[in-house]
Amino acid sequence: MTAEEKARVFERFYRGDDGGSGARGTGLGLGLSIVKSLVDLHQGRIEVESEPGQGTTFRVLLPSAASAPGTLSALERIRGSRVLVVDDDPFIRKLIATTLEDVAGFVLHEAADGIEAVEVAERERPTLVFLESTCRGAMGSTPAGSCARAPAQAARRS
Amino acid sequence: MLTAAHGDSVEREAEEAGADLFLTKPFSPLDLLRLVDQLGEQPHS
Repeated sequence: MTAEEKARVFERFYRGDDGGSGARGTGLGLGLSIVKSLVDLHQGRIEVESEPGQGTTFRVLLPSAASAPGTLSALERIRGSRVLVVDDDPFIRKLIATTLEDVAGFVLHEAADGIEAVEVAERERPTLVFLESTCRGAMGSTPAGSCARAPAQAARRS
Repeated sequence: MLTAAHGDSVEREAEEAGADLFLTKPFSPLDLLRLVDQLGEQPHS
């Protein structure tokens, strides 16, 4: 990586020059930002060594002592839960899915609008539902209350 | 509830409908994990 790429490598949605070809790398550019967030969460740090055309080494340093009592304990308790993400923005859905599925071990289901959300909620009965507040494209310009109510009720009555 | 901006009316309405917490865009993966951790601490979750 160049010095400029190295400085930006942990930015969300940043994709570096793939091998100096001028083409952007594949993916959404979220992976390393998530890694950095998790390292920060554990009070660690991440170091980067890189030269153009020579490859890159990432070094993650984590404290050996246990984290403060209570840290992430609740997250661990609900690991494996089914989660439904409802948002018309695929980047937001991907960000949440990548973080919760790959990192935290949740089972993710996605919906782009409220109608699809109700269908998925009835079928999958998620424990957690992330809803975009306006649910555009689903029930017209449905107010937030209706958006929150419909999939939650669907999840409960299934 | 995912919101684009803080708004009392939106949050009040969503809370009345049963929303537990709010996550305002843009958010980081760390924000998301902290919020889910909060949800896990709630007794009814």
